[in-house]
Amino acid sequence: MNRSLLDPFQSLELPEQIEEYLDHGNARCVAYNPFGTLLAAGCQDGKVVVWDCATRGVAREYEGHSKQVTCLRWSKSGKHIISGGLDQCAVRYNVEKGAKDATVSLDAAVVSISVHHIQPHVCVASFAVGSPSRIDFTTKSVRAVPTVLLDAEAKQTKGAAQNSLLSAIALCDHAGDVIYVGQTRGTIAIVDANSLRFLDVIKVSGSPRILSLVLNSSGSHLAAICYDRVIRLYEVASFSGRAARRKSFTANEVISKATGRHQAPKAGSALLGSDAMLKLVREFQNAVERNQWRSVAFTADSEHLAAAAHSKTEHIIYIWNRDFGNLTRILEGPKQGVVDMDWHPARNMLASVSADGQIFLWVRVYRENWSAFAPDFEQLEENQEYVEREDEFDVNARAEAAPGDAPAGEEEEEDVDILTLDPDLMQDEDPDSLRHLPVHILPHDPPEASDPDKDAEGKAAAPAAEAVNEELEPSKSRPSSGGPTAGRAGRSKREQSSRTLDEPEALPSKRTRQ
Amino acid sequence: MSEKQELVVPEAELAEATVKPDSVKADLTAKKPGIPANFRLVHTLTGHSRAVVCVQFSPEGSILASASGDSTCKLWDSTSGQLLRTLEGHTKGLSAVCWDPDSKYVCTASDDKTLRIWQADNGQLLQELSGHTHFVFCCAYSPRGNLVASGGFDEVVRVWDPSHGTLLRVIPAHSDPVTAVDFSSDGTILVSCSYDGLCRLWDTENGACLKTMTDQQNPPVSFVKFSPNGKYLLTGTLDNQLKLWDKKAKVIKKYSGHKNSSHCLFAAFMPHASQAFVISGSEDHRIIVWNLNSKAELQVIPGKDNPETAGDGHCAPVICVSALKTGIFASGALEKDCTVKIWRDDNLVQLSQQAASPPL
Repeated sequence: MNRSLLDPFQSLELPEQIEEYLDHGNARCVAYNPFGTLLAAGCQDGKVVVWDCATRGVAREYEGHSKQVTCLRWSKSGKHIISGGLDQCAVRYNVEKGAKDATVSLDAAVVSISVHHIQPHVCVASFAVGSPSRIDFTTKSVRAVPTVLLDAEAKQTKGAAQNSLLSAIALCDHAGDVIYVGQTRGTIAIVDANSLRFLDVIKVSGSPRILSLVLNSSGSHLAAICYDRVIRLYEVASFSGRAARRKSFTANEVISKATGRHQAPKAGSALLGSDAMLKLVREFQNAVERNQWRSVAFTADSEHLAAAAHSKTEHIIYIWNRDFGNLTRILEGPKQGVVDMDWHPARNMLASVSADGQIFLWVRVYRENWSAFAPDFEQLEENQEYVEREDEFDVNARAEAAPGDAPAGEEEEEDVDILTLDPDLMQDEDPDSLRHLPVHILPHDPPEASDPDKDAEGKAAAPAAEAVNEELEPSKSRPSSGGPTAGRAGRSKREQSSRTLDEPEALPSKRTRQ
Repeated sequence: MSEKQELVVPEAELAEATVKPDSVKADLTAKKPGIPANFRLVHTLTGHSRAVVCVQFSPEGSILASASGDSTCKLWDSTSGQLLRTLEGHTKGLSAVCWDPDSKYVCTASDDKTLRIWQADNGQLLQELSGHTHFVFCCAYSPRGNLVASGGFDEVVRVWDPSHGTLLRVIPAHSDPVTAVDFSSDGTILVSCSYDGLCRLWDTENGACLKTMTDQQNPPVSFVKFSPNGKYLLTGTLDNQLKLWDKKAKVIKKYSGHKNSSHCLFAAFMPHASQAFVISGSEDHRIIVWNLNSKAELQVIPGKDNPETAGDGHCAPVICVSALKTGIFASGALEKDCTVKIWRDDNLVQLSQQAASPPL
């Protein structure tokens, strides 16, 4: 609703500084809900804390894991959070009810989790060791997401033992039909989300291990952190219905097809050649320091890509322009490494988790728009010589102009509609999504004022303060009101009159007006 | 029971009440003034020992909160008019009351420089928001219930987190007492107005000033409220006018006929299914109901000079009104009267009931 009044350029600017430190529990990972109204943080002690982005206060706490929470994601509707932890469990929470509603035990500690966009009860969990699993929370079934090895040496020793040592990072796409699997040996496999058969396998040049995968908000670009300290940006080809129409392969078919080709390409699709489902667009790296990357995120408008350096002692986030590849900003925080970060889904705001468990909220520095403070103020780019009008200080001309009241005279006689919301706000009313948590206010401690005895006590204890107050308010007091010694009735009469304006002493500026 | 109930309105007075709208209708031949309203007194709620300064229906409509200079806030059943409970604890008179969107909590603003959050169903005091350095004059709950904004004689607007009782933001908004604050329906804009004659829009997110609205004459602004959809603003100024603004700071409608030159009167929108109304009290003890679009006075509820005089109206300046979209509104009046009255237009209520439950 405030969109029409915002400066369109200011609101696009990238964050510059830390506005707020959120410190509650020992945060290890963060995720904004799809509307940017709530921020969930997984903690060292296994709790999940949900912060209200408007108040920057804790809205809810959920218990789910017995050990550290390593990753968490919101469902698309915002009604559920799914988290993974070191206790080898994946837990689903009902956000509104404030409790976990399902737990699935797994074989290894979870390192990343991705929630299916269409079926919120389905998620894909990735592990430090072993292939990812597709978890269905309604049936509690766990299916392994297949991985495949293409390089020659792996082929020789292929077998269960070798396979289990591999790890892979899996990510659900936004259409819900494919899963991207970033594998140890430098390949990104694209797997049909339902049949779990391979659709394509993309080789990354140099075969670095894939550490992390992130999609932008529209699902059109995929960023992969690779072990060779490069973040590779892929464009996702052919958008709708790709899984259903595509030919799918089993792992063995993939291997035979990939190796059967004459010259297996060093990079690009191993199966489809130029028709690859992912096309490399750009590579981002810190060419000077060659640092490893911890976490990557797209900005809300997907114009930029932010990446946090993997460091124990430095909190550095690099932001590049996605299309041009130039480094546009470096955010430097306190001397604590970044553990995880997430970009606000609607605004240019970033939440990063530091190694000591605090969450930093990065925003741009707000510049006061002075022209908003008065209707006749105008912001100038530079100094201007003011040329006065011929009749500017002409008394007669002014007198004529003043009572004219021109804009008020053009009162529109159009009918106004005070009920219908703007279309972009209508979606806020979507009953299938949970944007906000109902506020529960708990009495923290028995406030003294509710107890008459204590109240009196408090007053006796602070007579000085009372006197000061009375002194501060003489301008408010009317002749009729008594001094500080006047009874309660006398005082509240004066107080109650504050709804009136007939207090010339109180409002010297009013005197001229009345 | 201290409160009395007055249910029946004599026929003669009814007729009297409907005379005025007709005459207004005749004056505005060119326009459709709207169907005359016929609000009749349903309940007179007595119990406050000092002026009633603010009445607010809970968002779901079943409870009416009234704040008074006697430093209490009373919650009434809006259908039966029964007193449910009295919220006591403030040490000085109240100036405003507002509800959270779930109708669970009540926030009161007092001259004791604090705001308090109460649980509506048991009257328990939950939070005390202190920080204002002078009387707190107005308060508003955000539509999500996670923020409370307040303004007062210290000329600043403060934004609070009601669930933790913390002060989130201090906006040095005006150069004179802040008389009203309100949130837009999506919570992204906060509006404040002041005796300094300005009405300012603020970005809830960062406290940035988005726009300043003022009139040529610059009369003190005593009241501001967003329309239910947040597109327009209704302001009350101490030159006896209510104005409807769009967000480009342009006056679209002006409502006049009431007297408002010294008090900060609350006005209300009643977006009934049949037509939209603007309702305001008046310092000459009357209550006026306008059609939102035609600006015609559809009904004028006459006041009276002292409590003994016959008639349903208030016998003191009617400082506050609060309306439900179903065709019911409440009004409260200053000292000498100290009552809250609930008014109802049976025709409108019936229409909205039909709309709510279509006939089988």
